[in-house]
Amino acid sequence: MKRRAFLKMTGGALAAAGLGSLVPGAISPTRAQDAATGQASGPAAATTGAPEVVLVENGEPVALLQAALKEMGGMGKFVSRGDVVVVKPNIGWDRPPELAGNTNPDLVAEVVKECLNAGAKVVKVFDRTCNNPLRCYANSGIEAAAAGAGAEVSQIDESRFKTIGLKNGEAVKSWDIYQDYLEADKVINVPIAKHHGLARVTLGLKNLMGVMGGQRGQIHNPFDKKLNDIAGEILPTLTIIDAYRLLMNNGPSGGNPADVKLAKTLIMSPCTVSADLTALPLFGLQVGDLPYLQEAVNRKMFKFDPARLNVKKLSLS
Amino acid sequence: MAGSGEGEARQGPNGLAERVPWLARLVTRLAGLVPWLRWPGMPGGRRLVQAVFLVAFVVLFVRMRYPFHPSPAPDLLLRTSPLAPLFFGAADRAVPWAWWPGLVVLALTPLLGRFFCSWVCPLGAMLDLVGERLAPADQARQGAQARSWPAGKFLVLAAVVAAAVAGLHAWFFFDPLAVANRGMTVVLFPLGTWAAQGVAGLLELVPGAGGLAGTLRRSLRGWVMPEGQTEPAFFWFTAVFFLGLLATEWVTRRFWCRTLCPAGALLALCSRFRGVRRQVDSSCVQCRQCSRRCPMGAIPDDDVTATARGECTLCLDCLDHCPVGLRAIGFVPGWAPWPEGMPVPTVPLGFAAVTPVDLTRRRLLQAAAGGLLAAGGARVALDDPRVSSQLIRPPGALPEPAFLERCIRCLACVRVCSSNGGCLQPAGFEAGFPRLWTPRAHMKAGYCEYNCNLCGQVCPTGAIKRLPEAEKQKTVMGQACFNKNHCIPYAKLTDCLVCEEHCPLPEKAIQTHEREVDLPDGSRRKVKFPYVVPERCIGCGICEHKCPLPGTATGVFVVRAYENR
Ligand code: SF4
Ligand code: SF4
Ligand code: SF4
Repeated sequence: MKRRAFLKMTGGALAAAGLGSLVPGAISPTRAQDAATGQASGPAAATTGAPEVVLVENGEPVALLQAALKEMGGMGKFVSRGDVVVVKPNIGWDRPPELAGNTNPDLVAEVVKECLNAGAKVVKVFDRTCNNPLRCYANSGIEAAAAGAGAEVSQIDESRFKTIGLKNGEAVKSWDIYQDYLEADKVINVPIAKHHGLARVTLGLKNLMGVMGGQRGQIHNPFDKKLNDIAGEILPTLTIIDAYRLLMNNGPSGGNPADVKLAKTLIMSPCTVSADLTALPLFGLQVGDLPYLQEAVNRKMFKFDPARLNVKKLSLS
Repeated sequence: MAGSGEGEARQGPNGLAERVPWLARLVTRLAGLVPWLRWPGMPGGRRLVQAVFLVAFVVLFVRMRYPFHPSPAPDLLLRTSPLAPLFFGAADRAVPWAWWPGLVVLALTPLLGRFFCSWVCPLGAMLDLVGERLAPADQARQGAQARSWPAGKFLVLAAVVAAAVAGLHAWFFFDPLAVANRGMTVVLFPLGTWAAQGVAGLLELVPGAGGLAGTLRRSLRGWVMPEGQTEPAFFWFTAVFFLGLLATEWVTRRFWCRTLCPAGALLALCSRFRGVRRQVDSSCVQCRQCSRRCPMGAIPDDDVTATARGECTLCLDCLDHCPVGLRAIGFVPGWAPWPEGMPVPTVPLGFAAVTPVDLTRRRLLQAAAGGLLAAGGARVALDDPRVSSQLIRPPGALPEPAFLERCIRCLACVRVCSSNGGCLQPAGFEAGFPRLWTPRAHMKAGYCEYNCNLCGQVCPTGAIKRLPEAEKQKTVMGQACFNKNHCIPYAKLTDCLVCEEHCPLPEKAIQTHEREVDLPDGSRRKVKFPYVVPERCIGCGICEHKCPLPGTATGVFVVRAYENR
């Protein structure tokens, strides 16, 4: 390459970087969270009579979702016309749906459809995977299902992370978050409930690690603080926990069919902590068994008081 | 080698022509067609075929990835190597049918000479691209007058044969197919994709070209590189070796093919009595353009009617340079009578009719002795166990000695792995000369993907066995070990378990035991300490890869132990 061309290129890149940080309003780390808070907190929820958490049992993923949404008052309560919506499933592992390593693809597809029906301009689906992303997207069945439902499914582009400050950070003061996530108007968090060696169980809060950049392994110590430092800053609009198949052991990657338990359950809440708390009995656990969830409760990262959580349970049959 | 010549060569197959007249007629007809492979006014046919083979080679290379395309076989063109059937056939004492493309090349060579070199060989095509498009059009680089040493390739061949007989397999360092694929894997593809992304980045800065940049990025992702940028190990030396090889075009056209390529030497030997040869008729005005332009230097400057049978690659460039209207050059069967009124070539006969040098027996013996010495060196040099214990091989690799004999260092496995776990990297000098460029798993660069068995699928030689997925998942590459001086729970008394989280086995090979420990401030804390269950661990290395500790200080690492090979 000629020297002049090289100089142009470097200069161009620098200019681009500078411009990016100048564009006003391009990136607002707390938009998703604000939207969530504004949507369904406290009195508003009470007056409309919608429950704080819905737990539906005994159905197929699509039926479970429909029932829960009906209780909540429809997807239109969370997604407005023209919104850019991110649906964040767990696509972490190169595993087929039967092994319960990833979110159920039918559920993801139905969530995407609901968002589009509610008027979302675009629905984006992505996850920063643990195994090879091509394999995870394909073999989880999520890529095909979500794209078939009309979502924009893309792999994480490592150059699109943005460092955000964590104002309540105790163990970390800043972390990289995926730009598309930060820029979304609404975020629907769709984790699968499964066993995890360190965390005991991974649910809604931990699923948010899928939009965190950098060396995620470092979040593991001290896990309880770092996870909440970061997750607390990027809480989603709505959390839908896929508990259709539960991975009871050897998680989060799984692989042993004997560890998969068919629970045919779904939990939905605009509050991630509340959703996570509601899922614990599925594993026979209490909040004290999960130090990171206890920490989230202690930090009051919830929208609804765990002591008097209004959980609506119903069973389809 | 000396003693046989053009005259004898013409008489030899004469008997054949009388005994099998239909074959003779067929060859005559075919030879008559050769000039038509050059389209009127343009250097057509041959170049078209050459381009098709090069593009096919590149397409097959790009398709060597996940998701896997088993057909056409990604290694199909790698198997056109004419050397591989020779060495593998000799080693196995059996016809290596898997190398049928190479066998076809070998079978056609006695008829067409070294056609492989200018019609099929991807390295030859790359050299032509460089020599014709990049290097300056300097007459001194072309034809018989250019610097080259045609005997060299026979010496290389003699040396690698002698070395192979003595147990050192080194021929594949010079195998043109292996060289080309190695260059693609380590140098051209990584640099090319990097440059393409750079172009997209630049386009984005041009006002109004954003859409174009997006299209470029998307098609790169969709067609060429769905995975991230590949970052090969042992890049610098390989780049110097490979780009240096291409750069010889600045010295002499097809320097590699004239002087070094052992496949070229083998094909030259097979062209000893080639069925189709170049023929100059009496309309020749002795302008010597053909001799000066022949990329192989196959036409002696002092006698343009002669052609070195082992050098001419049937590239037909001489036809292009023969003054228009003359068309003094034709192609005829090897035994066709010398044209009326043409002087029989005056150049030295004998081996020089195959190649324009006097290749002495002494030189060949010297080269063979060099090969033997190299084999001896490889045998006696200390195989440092501290190094070899780190050379983790792909899952399904043959036992080490057989592996070193089979693996042609084409790096197809490294290529396919870069779109999967990404652990396979070419070994460098640290592994010792006989292991140069062999694939080794580098667990900080990547890890072996539990559900992947693709390296075995693309390996053209069977150096990596073609394991079904379920069997591969049980194939032990090595063994994970904790380094308690580094591992966070042991060294810092706080939880971590990133390794355990990622261990892909249905029953995790990393288990934990929880103990309460005393902390400096007098308090106590429960910590989960990981350990490896050796019967379960397959050495996939994702634990080492994902360990948050840096570089050589990882808390867990894989060593070569308990392998299934
Ligand atoms: S099986 Fe493992 S080593 Fe082989 S290509 Fe796949 S990931 Fe790489
Ligand atoms: S192991 Fe096979 S694919 Fe890999 S470099 Fe050797 S021959 Fe090529
Ligand atoms: S190398 Fe590590 S991750 Fe792989 S099987 Fe062994 S313990 Fe598990």
